[in-house]
Amino acid sequence: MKVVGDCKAVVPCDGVVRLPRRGLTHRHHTLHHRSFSRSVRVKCQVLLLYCDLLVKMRLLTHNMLSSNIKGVVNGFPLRIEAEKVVEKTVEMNGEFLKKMFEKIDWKAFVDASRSMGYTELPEEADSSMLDSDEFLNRFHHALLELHLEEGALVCPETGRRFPVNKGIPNMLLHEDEV
Amino acid sequence: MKLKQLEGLLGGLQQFPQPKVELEQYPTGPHIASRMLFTADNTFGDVSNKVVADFGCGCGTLGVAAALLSAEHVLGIDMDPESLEIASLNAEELELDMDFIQCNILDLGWRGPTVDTVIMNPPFGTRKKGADLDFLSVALKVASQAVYSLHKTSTRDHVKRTALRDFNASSADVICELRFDVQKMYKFHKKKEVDIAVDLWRFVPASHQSSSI
Repeated sequence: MKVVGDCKAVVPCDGVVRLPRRGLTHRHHTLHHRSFSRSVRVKCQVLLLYCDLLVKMRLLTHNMLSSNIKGVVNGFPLRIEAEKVVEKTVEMNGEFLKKMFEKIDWKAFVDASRSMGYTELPEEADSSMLDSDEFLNRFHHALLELHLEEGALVCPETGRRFPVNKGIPNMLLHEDEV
Repeated sequence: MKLKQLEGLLGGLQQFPQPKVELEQYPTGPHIASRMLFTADNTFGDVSNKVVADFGCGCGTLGVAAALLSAEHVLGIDMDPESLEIASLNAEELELDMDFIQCNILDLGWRGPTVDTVIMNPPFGTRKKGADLDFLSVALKVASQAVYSLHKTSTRDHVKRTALRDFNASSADVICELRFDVQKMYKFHKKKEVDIAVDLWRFVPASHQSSSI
């Protein structure tokens, strides 16, 4: 993979770029309409598409999953090996965050965010902190804006690695693990 | 968003280019998918601002519908990598944020009932008997609020009995009966197109009934 210029696009090393059946979204067209000449524009639209396609697994998802290998007693939390992390801004929903605060396992969440390179979350947190905008912003950022793109989730008991490629964790178990 | 608008957007999604018979890959049509999610959101408040999981998401139709109806976090799970690739493409085309996991629904480990709502069009179990009820069993463990699922109308009594007696559901209701039109996709299909009567179900998991609307 390599990063290309200002459009922060990623192309596969083999250079094989496949187009979706129905072409590109409107957003890609408008984004690049002004910035590139016609010939370059087409290329960049394709690259941008790849860039966005690589964005999938967030820490909220990580906080819900555990290793389910046969014989494993406590498969939570899965350790994160981050090779590539990307950030993508999404709108904040305060009510949702307050609800999620009650549901998530904070310790696992903080550890996960650190292994993704984000160190702004406090070691411990209680619900009174939800009144602080600064805290909410950080919570929101770590929960929903950090994406693990390449790396692995690792079972805390057995050390078995579940690879994460293009943002999708492969949690398929082998026959002898079921 | 209006029902018609939702159905229109879902109609533009890509579906399985080469469906795999062993996984019972049948696309959920825009008609059924839009009604399923629209009812879940409008009548029961189980979608907007919720954490929603799409079990056996295939090309992501149901998950995309949930995201379009303002689910806060949508998680699509399927064991077929090609389906997931199309699903992520579908989400991207509509500029939706969805997470995906490649796994067999029956093998995935969960910390607890962290998902609010599970939506699914499970394999009906024509290739592997009872596959739809296996999915339902897991869904009722993972969801804290509700499970929406499609099952063949011919199995209605069995589904209800099993959900209440064996899977600890506190309620199991058929919301409506729909026609699932199966186009001729596989070689063993003799007719060009067949309508299958399916029920749209809403199940409520027992231990969490108080928190549901």
